[in-house]
Amino acid sequence: MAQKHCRPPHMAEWLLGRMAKTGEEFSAKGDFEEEFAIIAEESSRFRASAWYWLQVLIYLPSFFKSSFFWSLVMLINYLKVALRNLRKNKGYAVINIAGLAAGMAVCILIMLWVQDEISYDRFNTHADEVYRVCFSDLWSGNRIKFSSTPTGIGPALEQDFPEVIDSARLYRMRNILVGYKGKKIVEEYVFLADPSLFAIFSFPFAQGDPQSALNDPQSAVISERAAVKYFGSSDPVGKTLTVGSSTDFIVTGVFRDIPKNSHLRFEIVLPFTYLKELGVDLHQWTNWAYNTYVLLHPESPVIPDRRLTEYYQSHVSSFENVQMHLLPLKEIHLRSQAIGGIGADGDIKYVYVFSLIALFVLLIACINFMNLSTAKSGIRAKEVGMRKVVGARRRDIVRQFFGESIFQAFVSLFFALAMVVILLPLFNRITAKELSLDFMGNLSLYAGLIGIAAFTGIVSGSYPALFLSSFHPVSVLKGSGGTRAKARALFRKALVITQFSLTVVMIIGTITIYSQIQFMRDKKLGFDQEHLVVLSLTGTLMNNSDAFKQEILRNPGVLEASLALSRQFHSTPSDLWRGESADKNVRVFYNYVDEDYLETFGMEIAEGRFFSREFSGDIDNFVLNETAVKAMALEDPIGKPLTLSRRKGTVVGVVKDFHFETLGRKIGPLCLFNPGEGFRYLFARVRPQNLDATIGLMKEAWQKFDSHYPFDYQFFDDDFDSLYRSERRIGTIVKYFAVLAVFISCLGLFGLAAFMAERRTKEIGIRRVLGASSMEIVALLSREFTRCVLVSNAIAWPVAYFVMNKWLANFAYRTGIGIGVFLGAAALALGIALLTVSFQSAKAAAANPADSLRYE
Amino acid sequence: MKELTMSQLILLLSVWRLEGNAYGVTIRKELARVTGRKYPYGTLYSLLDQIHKKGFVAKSIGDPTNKRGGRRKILYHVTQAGREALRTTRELQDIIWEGIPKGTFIKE
Repeated sequence: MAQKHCRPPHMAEWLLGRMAKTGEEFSAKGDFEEEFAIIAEESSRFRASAWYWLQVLIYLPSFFKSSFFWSLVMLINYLKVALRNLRKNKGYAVINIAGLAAGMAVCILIMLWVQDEISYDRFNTHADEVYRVCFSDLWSGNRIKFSSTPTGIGPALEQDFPEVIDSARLYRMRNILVGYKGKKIVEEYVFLADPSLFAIFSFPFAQGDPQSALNDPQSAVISERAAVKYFGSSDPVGKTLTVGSSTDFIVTGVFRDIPKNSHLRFEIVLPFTYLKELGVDLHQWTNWAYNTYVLLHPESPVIPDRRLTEYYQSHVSSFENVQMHLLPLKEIHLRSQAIGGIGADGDIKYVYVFSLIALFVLLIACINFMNLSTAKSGIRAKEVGMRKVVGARRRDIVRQFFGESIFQAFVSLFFALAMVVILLPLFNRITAKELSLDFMGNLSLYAGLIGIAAFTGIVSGSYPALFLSSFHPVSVLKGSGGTRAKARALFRKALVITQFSLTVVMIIGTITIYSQIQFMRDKKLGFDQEHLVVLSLTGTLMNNSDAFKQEILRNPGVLEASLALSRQFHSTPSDLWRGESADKNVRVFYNYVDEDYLETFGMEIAEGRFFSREFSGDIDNFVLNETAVKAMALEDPIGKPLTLSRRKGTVVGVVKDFHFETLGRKIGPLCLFNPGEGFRYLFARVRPQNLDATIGLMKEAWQKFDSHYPFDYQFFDDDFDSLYRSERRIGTIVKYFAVLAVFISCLGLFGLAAFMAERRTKEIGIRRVLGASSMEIVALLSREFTRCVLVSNAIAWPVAYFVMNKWLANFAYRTGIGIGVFLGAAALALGIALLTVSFQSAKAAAANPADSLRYE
Repeated sequence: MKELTMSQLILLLSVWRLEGNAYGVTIRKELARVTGRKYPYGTLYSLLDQIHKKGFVAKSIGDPTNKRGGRRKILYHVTQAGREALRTTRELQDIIWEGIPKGTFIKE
């Protein structure tokens, strides 16, 4: 036969190696292979393999008999002892398992959350090759990143860089009216995009061809959700959607609803060329309002930032400080930290922080386990001694105790999963996610769960295992070992201190976050944001904004009203004031406002005057804020001519600084224009009384002007509050964690206290007989724990101070961490600890001494 | 005291006969020749282990061959104790068999 070198089956060979006597497995393997070769030569390879397998299988029973039998016997014994122990100490078992389960539940929730956060955009086939084009600019000395781009960049990159295969531009239109027949809906997620969008990103289509769906300038692609919304069950392809008041688009494709973990999310996509009809230059280089994504060649390395910046600078000469770079798609969600982006609300910092907190909570739970098992070790010690006497080696004992802790960990895992199922809806509400315990097709979930349980088991079992196994059988069985008992107690104290230190840090963290949120809410912003109704002007209203404002002012509930271009203040690299040199340039925020803006918002003028109808020519005038005056180093600003954002004009007034951004940012330089037209928002200061009637009248006024768009309004402070949504979310999460940490710590303390009281039953009985009062007994039993909690406060304070100061540094305007916070946290921890302990000690103190002294 | 069981006896004798080349494969073959029965390796190894533990055989490490996938073999040798045990067993059997003629087993 030609088979010279056939090998025996791998699996069988491996199995054989496992069974043969260690150190001699080569001989067995050799014997097998020799005969295998003979059979293979004589008959066939298949025969030989069959023989090999058969022999290995026949080997199995004799192997099991010799080596497994005894370990099996021991295993059964271990299991029996573990269960007996659980049953005997039901209370402690419940405390252990409840604590571990709670800690694990937190870990699992966080794991799900982290898994979701890092899964963003990874479903894209080209996830590794797609990049977002980003820019950065110097902004009063700081480099600020922003992810918007001019329209010309994408096509230019595609042309001039061989690495760039494809590019797509995107523009989001907010509050746009989309209609089909009688149905009119104001859409939030309408995007204009190049046809290549669906080639770069993997959004599968239910109908139509992704490659060509947007080629026609009149085409529209919609999500399945939108298709149902507009067309019900009828076929959407070929139907006509009316966007705005009159432009028609024909649906050419339907894409499947975009997964939650995509940073891009849209319902309706229209061709980018529609912007041309709106008067936008599709190849300009200096107006940052669009997003650009590029697809690089899979083999090409990323284009270095320097090359991109040089490329940009060689085309545009007026923005010396602007730099260009590419941000990988997979980093957009967690690491972009840029302004002007579409959906980049994650933060890698919080991924780390939450993981750490989850670990803390789990650690606290593990400590409970360690504490209670070392506390009980005096009783277990006899068993260990006995085992050693009859021949157990140290590693057998170690294995036994690890086995026990891992067993408990897996039991807890079961309860933890039940808790997660119950808590998920709440957790989803807090985190604004749609997480689920999806056991199908989520292999990493299993890995994570088993990992958590194994980690818990090993950590919580480590001390008891290593500690109990070190007992000397003779001293244990004789009943001595006093010095060790002392060391044990010390270790227990150290663990309790660790536990409470972590807890106190979390309490302080919670209080600080909440006080910062409160601080931001209470801070005087420099204007009055209450009772301010915001109307977003659309369609015909935009062209008749002045008349509409007059109509609104006729409403008796309206005190003042003003028009503006936007709710927030904007700034892009083109909004620049040029100083003498490039480093003295000032980036300004701007807004278009009318004459009543100052009045309506209740801002104050510092110098000069605000725009006014009594003066003509205000179209060319500016109003700055104090920060802008300072940044531009204007000595006497009033009447100074300025060139700003390609506009020439004169400064007529200076408004006092007010907070127009979140309090996380310092007040920036601001410039107000009054072009007299192009307004998109109306702000109305209303009387707090009879709000319903006022709003009703507004609606009537609205309908007089615009019959297409449905009436919609918001309150300004709602909008402003949403700026702090992420802070509030973090506050809530940390609060729940802190509560859990307190709960688990107290569980442990409760167990320890119960144990102490039990052990000192006789001492307490004697003290009572000799005349100690209940109070004295309670104090006696609580003293030790009180001391522990006080020490943990001393440890936790500096740590918490350091950590929370770091967090607060994110905010330009922040509250201080007063001593009150620390004292409050200390009092809280101490109070809860004492309450927990005193329950047990009171019980012990109230017991009839006759009962506790009678036995024996 | 040092009598051998039947299978131990057969095994030990095979090893003796193969002296110098007694390892897994050859022993198994010899056993098959003598008894007409193919021992599974599992049984063979545990039997070898038994007589090794009792000190009747010693192990040494032999040369590897290509056929064995380059693995070395473990060679077995009958020790003094082994020989002693064989002798006692033989003596015992001689005593037991005394007076029973071979022809007894022939069917009538």
